Amino acid sequence: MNRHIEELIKLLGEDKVSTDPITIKLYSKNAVYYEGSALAAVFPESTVDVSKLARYAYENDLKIYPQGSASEIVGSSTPREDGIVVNFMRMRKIKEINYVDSYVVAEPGVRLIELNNVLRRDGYMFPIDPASIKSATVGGAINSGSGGMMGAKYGTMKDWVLGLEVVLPDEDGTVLRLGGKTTKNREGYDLIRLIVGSEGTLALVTESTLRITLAPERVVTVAGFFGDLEDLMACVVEIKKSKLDVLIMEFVDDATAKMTVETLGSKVVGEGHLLITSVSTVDEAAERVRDALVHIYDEAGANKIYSALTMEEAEDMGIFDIRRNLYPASIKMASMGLRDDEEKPYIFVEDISVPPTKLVEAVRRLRNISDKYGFPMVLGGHVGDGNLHPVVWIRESERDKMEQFNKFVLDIMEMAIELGGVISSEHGIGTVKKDGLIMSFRSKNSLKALRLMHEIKKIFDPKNILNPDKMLPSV
Amino acid sequence: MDGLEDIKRDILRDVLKCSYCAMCEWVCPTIDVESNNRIYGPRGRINLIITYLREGIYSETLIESIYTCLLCMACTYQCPAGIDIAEDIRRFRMILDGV
Amino acid sequence: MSMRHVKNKNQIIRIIRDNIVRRGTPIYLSRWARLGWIEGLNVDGEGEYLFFTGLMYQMTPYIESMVSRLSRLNKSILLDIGSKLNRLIDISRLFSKVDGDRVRHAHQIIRSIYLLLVNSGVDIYYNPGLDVYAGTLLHDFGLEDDLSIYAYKVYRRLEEVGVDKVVTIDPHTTYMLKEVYPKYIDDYSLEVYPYIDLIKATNSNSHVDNKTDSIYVIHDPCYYARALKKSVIYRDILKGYGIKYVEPRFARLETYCCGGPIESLSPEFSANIASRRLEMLRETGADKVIVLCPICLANLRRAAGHQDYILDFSEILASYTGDKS
Ligand SMILES: Cc1cc2nc3c(=O)[nH]c(=O)nc-3n(C[C@H](O)[C@H](O)[C@H](O)COP(=O)(O)OP(=O)(O)OC[C@H]3O[C@@H](n4cnc5c(N)ncnc54)[C@H](O)[C@@H]3O)c2cc1C
Repeated sequence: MNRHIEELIKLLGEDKVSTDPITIKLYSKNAVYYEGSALAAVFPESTVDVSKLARYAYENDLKIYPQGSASEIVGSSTPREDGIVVNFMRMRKIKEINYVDSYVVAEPGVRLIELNNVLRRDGYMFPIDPASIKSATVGGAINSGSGGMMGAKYGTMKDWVLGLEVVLPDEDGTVLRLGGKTTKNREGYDLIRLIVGSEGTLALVTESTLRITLAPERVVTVAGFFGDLEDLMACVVEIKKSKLDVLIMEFVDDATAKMTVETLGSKVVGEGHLLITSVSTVDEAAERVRDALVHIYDEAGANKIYSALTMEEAEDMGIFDIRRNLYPASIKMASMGLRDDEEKPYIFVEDISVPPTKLVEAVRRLRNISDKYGFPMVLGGHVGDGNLHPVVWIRESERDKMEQFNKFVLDIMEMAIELGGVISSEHGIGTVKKDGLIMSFRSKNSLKALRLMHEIKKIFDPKNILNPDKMLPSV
Repeated sequence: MDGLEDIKRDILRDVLKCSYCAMCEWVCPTIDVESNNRIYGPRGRINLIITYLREGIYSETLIESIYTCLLCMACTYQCPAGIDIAEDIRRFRMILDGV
Repeated sequence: MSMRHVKNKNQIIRIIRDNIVRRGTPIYLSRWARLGWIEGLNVDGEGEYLFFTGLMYQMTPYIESMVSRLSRLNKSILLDIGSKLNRLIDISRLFSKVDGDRVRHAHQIIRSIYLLLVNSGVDIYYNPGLDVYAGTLLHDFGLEDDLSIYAYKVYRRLEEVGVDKVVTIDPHTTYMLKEVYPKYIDDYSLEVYPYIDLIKATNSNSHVDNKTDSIYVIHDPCYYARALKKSVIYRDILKGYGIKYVEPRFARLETYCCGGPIESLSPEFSANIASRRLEMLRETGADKVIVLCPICLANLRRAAGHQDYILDFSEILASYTGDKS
C-alpha cells in the first residue's frame, strides 16, 4: 500500500479513506467526461479532519483535489494520480438558520436543493439556482462562482456569501474565518470574493455563511414566440424599461425550440424564438403585472403568448419546459444521431456572456460559427444578463473531431470578447478554458492580471498542492 | 423473451446516456443513509454497470452497489437524460445472476 | 471495499426463489395467516371484481420475524446447507414463529379494505384458490425465466375460470399485475384496479362519530406515487373524509422509500433507511403516519418500535366509516 494511504488512515480513520479502485473511479469523473485517477478518495467529516489532511499534504507534497458533486463541466474537480480526491459530501449539515439576520450557516456538502427545501418551508430561499441545483453543493457552487435562472435579479454566488471558514494548505493546516454574518463588511481586502470562483485552487471551504432572502410572494410568468430575434430583443428592452421586478428572463432560439418540442414534446408551442419572463410581485398586483407583460409581448410582435399568474400554474402549463429541456434535448438528439447503438454521446455546454444589447449580434455570429464547423447546436440562455449557453455534441467515435471542436470553442470565445463580453460566466475555467483566459486578458492588454493571480495562488498555496494546474494558464 | 446478449446491449445503450450530472442522487435513500458514498447512488450504479459491460470490471463493490438498490425508482424520475435507471439496475441483476 | 450490507446473497435468493416457485410464497405462510381475515365476514363467491390480496399483507409478520432470524444466522455455511435443503423441506417454516397480533392486524386491514369496497358499491367476490402471490421478488431479483413461467401460471389460472377484473390491495401486486405481467404474457387482458381507484372519496357513513383531531403525515409508497401515478387519488380521499394530513420532506414523486425492498439481503441497511424515513415523518410533528403498502407498514413499524404510530390508509378510513371489525 502507498505510504500516504497508511498515514492518512492513521490520521483520519479507516472509514474516511477509500482505496477501492472502483470507488476511486467514481470520484475521478466529472459531468463532462473527464476522467482522472487518484491514490485514494478521502471523506473528511469535520474541519479538524480537513486541517489534519492539509497539514499532512503540505508536509509530504501530496496533491489535494477538492470535490463536491463533481457536476462541474470544465474539468475543475477531477483529480490526478499524484494526489487524493477530498470529497466534502459527508460534511452536510445545515448548522444554523437565522431569519431575523437573514443568513444560514452550512457545511460544504449540502446540496443547494436541500438548502432551499428547508428555507422554502418558511417562505425564504437561497436565490442561486443553477440548472444543476439538484446536484450542486454549497462548496462546489462557491468555488465555481455559480449562477442560475434568477441571475437577472440576484446575481451569482459572489453576491451571497457573507462568511467562510477555510483551511489553507500550509504547514499548520491553518483554519481561517473570513467575513461574518453581516451584509456590510469592510475589513481589509475582500478575501471572500477571492475564494468564491477560485475553483478549489486557493483554500478548502469547510463552512459558509450565506445570505438568504424572502421567496417572492407571487411570481407572474409570460412566455411568447418571436419570428424575428430583433423583435424579441425589442421586447426585452421594453420590459427592462417598464420597471417590473424581473426575476427570470430566459431565451431559446427558434431552431432549438422546434427541436426540443419535436424530441421531448411540450405543452407550450409556437413559431420562432422563445422568450420567458418571470416577474416578482405581490398577490394584489398579479393580474396587473400579467396584463402589462402580455401587452409588451404583444406590442413587440410575439406570435403566441402564454401567461401564468403563479409559479404552480406556470409549472402545470409547462411554460419552462422548453428552456429546461435544453440539456435533456441535447442528450436525446446526440443519442439519436449515433450510428452504433453502443456509442456514447458527449455533450458540451458553452458559457459566454455578452452585454444584453449585443445578444442579437451574438446569436447571429454563433450560428455562423456553428455552420462553419458543422456542429449541430442547441442555443439558449439567460437574456437578462446576456449569458448564452450554446450546447453541442459529438460522438464517441468522432474523437478525431475534438481538435475541430476546440477550435470551435475558441471561435466562440473570441466572438464574446469582441462583443465586449466574457468567455466564462458561471461554469468556470477548469482545464478546458485556460486559452480563453489568456485570450481575454490579452485583448484587454492586461496579461499582468494573470501573473497577479499566480502570485496570489502562491501565497495561499506555497507548495502548489491544492488543485494544481486548474484554472490558471501558465504565462 | 430477449437473450442475455440483447438485454446487455439494451441496458448499455440506455446507460451510456449518463453524463454524470448527479441530479439523481439527492432523492436516493441508499446514498443518503450511506453518507453520500457514490457506490450506493444511482449515478454510481449506472457507471459501475458501464464499466462492467464495457471493460468487464467485476468486484464485490459492484455486487454491493447493485444489490443494495431498492428499485424504488426515485432516481428514474430525476434523470434529465431519461435513463430508465431502476429498470436497468433490475435487469442488470439478470446478468449478474449468471456470473 | 468489501461487502458491508449485502450478505449471503446467493443463498438467500436461492431460498426465496425456490419457495416462490415450489410453494407459491417467498416464505412459509400458515393457512390461518393467509385466510383468517375472512372470519366473520360475509364473503361472496361471485361478482364483478375478484378481490385479490396477493398475500402481501398476510406475509408481513412472517417477513419481519424471518428477516431478523436470518440476519442473525450469519454463518454462511449453515445458510449454504439450508439453501440446498430448502428444496426438500421448507426451511422458512423453521423460522415461522410469528407475532399473532401482527397477523391479526394484517387481517383487520384486509377486512377494512374489503368493507370499504363493499360499502362503495363495488361488486366484489373472493376465491382463495385464485388469490396468490404475484412474484414481486422474482422480478426484483431479476429472475426473468422463473418470473415468466410463474406469471404465466398465475394468469392462466385466472383466465381459465374467466376472471377479467381484479381489485388489488397493495402497490406491489398492483404494479406486477398491471405493468409487469403484460410484458411477459401475450394477449394479456386482465383489468387491474387498485382499491383506492374504486372506493368512494366521501365517508358514506358520516353519522358514525369516530372522528379524532389527529393530524396524519402521508408516507407515499414508491409504486403508487411513481410508477402508478396515484398520489393525488388517496389525498383526495383523505380530503373527502375530512382527514387532516401534512406532507413530509420527500413526498409524492419524490417519496423516500421505507427501505423494505432490500430487507432480505441487507436487513440492517434496510432498517437504517426506515429509521431515516421515520425521522422525516416525525419531524412534521404529526400524530400518526399513514402508509398504503404492507412493506412500508412492516418496515416502518419495526423502526418505530411500536404498533400504533404507523397506520394503514384503510384502517384510518374504516375508523371513520365505522367498518372497523
Ligand atoms: C446539466 C448541468 C447544468 C448546469 N447548470 C449550471 C448553471 O445553470 N449555472 C452554473 O453556475 N453551473 C451550472 N452547472 C455547473 C455545475 O453544476 C456548478 O458549477 C455547480 O455549482 C458545481 O457544484 P458541485 O458540487 O458539483 O462541485 P464540483 O463539480 O464537485 O466542484 C466544482 C469546483 O469546486 C471545487 N470545490 C468543491 N468543493 C470544494 C470545497 N469544499 N473547497 C474547495 N473547493 C471545492 C472543486 O475543486 C471544483 O473546482 C451545470 C452542470 C450540469 C452538469
